[in-house]
Amino acid sequence: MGWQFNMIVIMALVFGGTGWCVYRTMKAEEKK
Amino acid sequence: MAEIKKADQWSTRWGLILSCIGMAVGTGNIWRFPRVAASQGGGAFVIALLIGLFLWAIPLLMAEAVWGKVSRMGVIGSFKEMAGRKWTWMGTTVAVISLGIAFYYSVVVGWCIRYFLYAITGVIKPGLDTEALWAAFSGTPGAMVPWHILTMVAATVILFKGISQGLEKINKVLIPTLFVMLVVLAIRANMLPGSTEGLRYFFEPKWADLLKGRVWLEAFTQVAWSTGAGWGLMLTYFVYTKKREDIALNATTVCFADTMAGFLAGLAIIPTIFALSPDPMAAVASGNTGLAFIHLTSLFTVMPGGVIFASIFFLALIFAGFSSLLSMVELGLRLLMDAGWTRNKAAIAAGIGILVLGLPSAWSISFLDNQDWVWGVGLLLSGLIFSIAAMKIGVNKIWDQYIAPDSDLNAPWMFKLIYLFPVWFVIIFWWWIAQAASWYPDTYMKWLPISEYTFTVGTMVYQWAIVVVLALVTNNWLADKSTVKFEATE
Repeated sequence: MGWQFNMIVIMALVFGGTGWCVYRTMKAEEKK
Repeated sequence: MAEIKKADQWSTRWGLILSCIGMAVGTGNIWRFPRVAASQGGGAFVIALLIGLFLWAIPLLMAEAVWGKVSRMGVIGSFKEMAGRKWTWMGTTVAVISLGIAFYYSVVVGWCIRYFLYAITGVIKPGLDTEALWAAFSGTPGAMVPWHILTMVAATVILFKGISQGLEKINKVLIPTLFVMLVVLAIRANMLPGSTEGLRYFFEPKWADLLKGRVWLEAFTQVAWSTGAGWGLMLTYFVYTKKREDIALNATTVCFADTMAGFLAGLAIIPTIFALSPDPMAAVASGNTGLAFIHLTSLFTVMPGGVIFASIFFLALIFAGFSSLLSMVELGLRLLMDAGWTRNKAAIAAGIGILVLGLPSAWSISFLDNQDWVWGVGLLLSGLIFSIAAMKIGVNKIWDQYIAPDSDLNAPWMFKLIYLFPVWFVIIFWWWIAQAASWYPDTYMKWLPISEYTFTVGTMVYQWAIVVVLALVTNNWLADKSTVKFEATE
């Protein structure tokens, strides 16, 4: 496993986690 | 019977979230996260940190949000309302620890303003001796005072305007701009020849590092200091929320956004160091201020377009630090409003109070370092106080009554992890005590003069003890004073 793969995994976790939170918030706001 | 007082509140949920992210993202995300992540296994550190968010920060931030939203009072009054009158001293202790940080944090933001001006006025140019520049600025008594005053005047003016017109408006500008600036810096850094070595160093798979205790201790320490969990700041912001607000999702969003800010700073700083520094490891090991004001500043002098990127870097530091400082001043301001002061009077009093009590740190960097040590580690104590109070009230009760009804996240385990907090506290606290004892093998319990015993165990224990004793002595008086609640609308 090279550092590039490692970078993709870590980026997916950090940006994905933040993106998921933002998405859930946007969906909740749409429902209101 | 508490008097009900109506005031302005967050006008939108995004305004609240951006302000909470502003509270969490501070200078530590930019100058500490990349340095520690790079020296502690890179990717392994980030994994440990993400786990730390769930084990440490998210439960604490949820507890804070409940305190503010349910009690509608600042840190002191909320402990009286939530845990009971005789536990008011706990809130006082948390408040003093956070204000202890505010007193010197304004000085730190002032440094960034000074260096931003150095950047845009062309002082940061090839041939500059950045070590001498920093030594002259930080070592000259009084040199930091004007920048501290400027910072506090700006913070007071914004808080004077209130929540929706002051805090919310400014954070809606500062935080998106901060993230854009971090992205710009990261793109520029990764276009430098040789920057790939930095990425490789940052992301080299070192999964065995997850078995090292030090990586976890550093990750949990970063989580504790970076997210603002246990400071009472999220609590203060949640005083002004609407009646229905998703505490669990907001706390999680703040923690991930805080991590993303640090990660982006890492993508900007580590490749820059490896591309331009003759000794990258020395830069990584140089400490927070050494990294920002000496090593990076030096690299900006040789980087093509360095003036522009130095300006963006220090502006990003200002935005990150200032948005956090605003929440600390608001914490003090809210305490006065709980005692019946108007916002305008409270803003002026809090502003002047923090300005005056920050002067010793603006005058002497060893005093600032001491306060950073004492109250920085004190945040662990604040977290412990919140976790104990949550267990006293009832963790299940808090989730069922105050979090679940308005939350889209049906995950009570996220809050129940607060039961484990005392374990983390003992481990991390013991680690810091052991480190401090090793720095002063024979004199670790001494504390005066502060310039000589800046980072001892003694200076921390004695200053904490003074605060806790004062909080206990003033328990009933402060409980009687904290009577005015904020009234939220739908």
